[in-house]
Amino acid sequence: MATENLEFPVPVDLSTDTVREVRPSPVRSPSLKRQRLISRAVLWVLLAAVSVAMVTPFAWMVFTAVRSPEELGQVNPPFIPRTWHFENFLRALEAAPFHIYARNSFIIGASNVVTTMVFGASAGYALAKLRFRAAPWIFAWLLATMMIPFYAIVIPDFLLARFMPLFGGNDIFGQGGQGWIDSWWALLVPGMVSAFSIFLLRQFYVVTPTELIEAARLDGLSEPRIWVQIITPQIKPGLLTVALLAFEGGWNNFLWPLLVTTSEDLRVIQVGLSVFRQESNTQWDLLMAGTTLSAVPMIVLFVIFQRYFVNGFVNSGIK
Amino acid sequence: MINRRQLLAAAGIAGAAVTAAACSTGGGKPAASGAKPTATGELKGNLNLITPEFAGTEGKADLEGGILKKFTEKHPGVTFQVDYVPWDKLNEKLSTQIAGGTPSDLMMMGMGWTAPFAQKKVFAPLDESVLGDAKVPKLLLDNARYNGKLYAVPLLLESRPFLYRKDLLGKIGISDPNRTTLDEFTQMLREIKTKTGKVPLDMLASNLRQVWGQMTFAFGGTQFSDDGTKCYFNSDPAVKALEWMVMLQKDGLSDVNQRVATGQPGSYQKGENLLGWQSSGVWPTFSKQSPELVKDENLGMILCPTADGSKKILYQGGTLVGLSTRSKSPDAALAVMQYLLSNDALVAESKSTGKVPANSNIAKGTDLGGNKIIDFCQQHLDSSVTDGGTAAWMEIRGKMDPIVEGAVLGTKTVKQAIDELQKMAEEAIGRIK
Amino acid sequence: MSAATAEVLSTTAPPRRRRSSLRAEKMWGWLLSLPALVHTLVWIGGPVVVAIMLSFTDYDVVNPPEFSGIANYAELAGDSVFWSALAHNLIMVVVVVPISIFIALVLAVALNQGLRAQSWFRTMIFMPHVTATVAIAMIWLWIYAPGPNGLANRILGVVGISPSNWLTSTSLALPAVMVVGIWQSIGLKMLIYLAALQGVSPQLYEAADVDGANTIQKFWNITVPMLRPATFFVLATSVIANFQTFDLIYVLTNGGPANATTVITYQIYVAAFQQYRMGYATAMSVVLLLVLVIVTYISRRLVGSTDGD
Repeated sequence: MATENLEFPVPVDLSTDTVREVRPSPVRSPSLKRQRLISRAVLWVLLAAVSVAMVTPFAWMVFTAVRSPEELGQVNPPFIPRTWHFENFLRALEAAPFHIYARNSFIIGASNVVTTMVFGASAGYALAKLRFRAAPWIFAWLLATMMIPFYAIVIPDFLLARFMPLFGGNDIFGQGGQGWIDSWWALLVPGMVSAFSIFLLRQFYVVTPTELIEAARLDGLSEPRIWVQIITPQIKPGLLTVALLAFEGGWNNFLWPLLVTTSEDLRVIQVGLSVFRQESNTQWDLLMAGTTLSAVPMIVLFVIFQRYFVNGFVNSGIK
Repeated sequence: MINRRQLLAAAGIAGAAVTAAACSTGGGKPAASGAKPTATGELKGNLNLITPEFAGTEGKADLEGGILKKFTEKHPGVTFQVDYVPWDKLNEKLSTQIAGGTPSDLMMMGMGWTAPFAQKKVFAPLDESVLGDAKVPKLLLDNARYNGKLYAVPLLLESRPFLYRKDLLGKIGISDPNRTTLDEFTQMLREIKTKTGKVPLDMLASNLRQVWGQMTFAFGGTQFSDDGTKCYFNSDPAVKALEWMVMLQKDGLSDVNQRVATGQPGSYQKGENLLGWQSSGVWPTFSKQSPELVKDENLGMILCPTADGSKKILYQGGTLVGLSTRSKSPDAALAVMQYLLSNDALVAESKSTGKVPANSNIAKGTDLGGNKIIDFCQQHLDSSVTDGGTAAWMEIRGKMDPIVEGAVLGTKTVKQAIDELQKMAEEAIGRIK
Repeated sequence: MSAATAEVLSTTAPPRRRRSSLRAEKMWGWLLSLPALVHTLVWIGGPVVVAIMLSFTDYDVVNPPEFSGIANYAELAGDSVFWSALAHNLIMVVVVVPISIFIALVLAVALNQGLRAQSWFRTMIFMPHVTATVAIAMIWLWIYAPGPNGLANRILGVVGISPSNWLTSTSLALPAVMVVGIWQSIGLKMLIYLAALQGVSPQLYEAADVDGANTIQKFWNITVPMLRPATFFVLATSVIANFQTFDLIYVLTNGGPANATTVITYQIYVAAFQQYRMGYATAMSVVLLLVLVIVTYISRRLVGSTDGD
């Protein structure tokens, strides 16, 4: 239900120049204007330097993916490879059935996004904006759930999936079969919604104007409609962020899918990448090629999503 | 209010599940006498096999399309479901499987895991006839025994001989670094150090727990009593081994600081050392990245000399296969184990995984994939040593690295480290019932 | 435990309204949060209760758990490695959290000005978040390479500092790991701040401009207060994340040298899955949980309600 609201009425051109025009500088005198220009230039250079520092390891990863074996064995290989072996990407893809793995990871990520957008957003909204006595308690509970390390609960979680009654040949007491093990249920259900997403969504809902809700109530709108139609459009950047992170969580998930599946048809992309890391022999070029490819969807999503993070985009509607 | 009630309900269900799973694990099937492969009668069953080896499209083709296929051609009643799990997640996978009461029929795992799994009744005892006519090094078999019974079969080994640079050593007039005793070997390292100024040996950059394990044998000791209930970390050979390692670091004969990230060329590969304690698995990396290193005129291999100059030793890590106590088709599973250890299958396994076959019946000159380090180690299987050998090994080994590291880095004295190691190991063994 | 936290977290009462609308609000509050609540109760709540119960047992994953009273906790009290792991976690929280939050906030604000090429900068700064940890480890091990040729040593050599063995020195390894932790965690925080900044009305800045406020005044008086809910989230999750650091330690140092960089989650992992001592591992997890609850409680007391609502 919340998903229909994800269709944004995006202005065609959101280039930065338009935005700058929206916020005219109050500075008038020419000398101050020049000072402002200089400070912006300094800021730009600083940001460029930081960006380079942040992106260098990624570049190293990509360069390693296309290096020749000789360069891989060098003590100080040149930062930019002398010869480019793009065939490494193809070799990496052939080393394991990555089409199956990528499909599975995509399904898990996409399913995470949908369920998080529905159940995570609803809970986030309720905890931020609806007053009921249990709200702070539920919120505290969600915070607490993040504090237990996964390694402490992985065995009980596994047993829960394994002894799931009436699934996978199990009887009503969860005996006799294998439950959700080696099935899509085990891959999708435990990751449906995370405390992390609810928490983040709540924080975005918290800053939305409560007057809007009051006004909508006076107009006789039902609570779900207020949530979906009035308030949720206010936090589109937040929704996008959570969606991006929910997808990432599913796409990169590794340990849980490995534990609850046995057949190749249900394995995920990170399992495929471990093929290149054998005990005493890591195929570094192929590992980096595969890792780079697996990061591409996340980068593309980020590049698309961040375009909507332009000042004034959200509030333009309620000025 | 509601959440408390629901909490309790959820707890009840999950708690019951833990107990149910754990209780149902106890009832092992095969008798105490040891499961025996039966030659007669048609084999039947669907076997689950969990393996950290044979990963990827190629590995799967080698295993399921080649090695296991040959078995099923002979025994059409047997089918396989193979679960490929990377080494570094094998522990998690095995624990959850076992906790859930559904361990695979056949489990491949590392050296040193056998005794703990036998003690916990995860593995069923095996009749020695499962070995067939394979000749497995005695010390490795001892390592796979618990309370005198065999619990797993070693298949593939990752050996660690000393590799040396013939070219670089030749330049300083050492044509053969083979020495009778460890003292002479150390003396030679000093000579290299003086002549070249380089750190002679790439050894302390490896896992120090394994180095210490090998050197304990080199000084004539063992780490545990035969039944695995006594720990000899504070025995004379173990102390001397640690002192030797500390001396290597102090005198610059080997350097912990030469550690590199996995996948980066190590200091031996980079030519910074003249000798290196290297795994048999480095061959493909070397031959691709630094082909000059594996040329006959450059690559030499020796075993590790011992203090008293008696038999030389070769450290082994490895992959073994064990049989689950809960297997529904133990007969078929045993036949598979026997088959996996047979010459033809083992050669195919060795070629696919790049590891040394743990069977010295395989004739010299057999093609094992062109890896000369494997060929060398295969011919010296009778020198094999390995660490571990107690049911508490899983608990002990992870805690050893930091303590041994502390001694080598000089943050604690050898005596402090030895006392700490001994105390830690005794406590761990004490917890085994 | 949640009682105390909940009390602190509870927010001010809403303005009075008609009763029917209040009842509808209450009902929908429950209905909308119920699916998520049930989900977390089943998949985390139940398992956590089991984990707490297991912490009072001897459980080797294979045989049924045996009640052992407080033996695990008693052993934990004397386990010096565990306490030094906890200390490392605390140091990481104290150092990494504030520094990375501050840098991320400044970057997010700077990248929300409509500068030329800002979408490029945003993407590049987000990159560490999507770079595989193994790749991160590889390049940082290269940067930290010992000897005068390592990049870090070369840079410090310019100002006359002699070369160090970063990751094999018991005193330098933890700071070295923390630098990587800061570097790696900035991208995600910046993303959250960027998203939160979109909810800050430009009119506020325009009004401040009219009043003649300068950039720094606007940052402290408008941006920072308006971002309080986001900051609360970033703070809470990164405190938790730094108490649960695992991957970075696993690939960079394996907890070494000589336990100098070991952390609680690493100890839990070793106990649970290398030593098959699930009871002991869960006891450590329970202590970690308690520490986190206490830290959260104290920080809420110190900071007050930062929800901003």
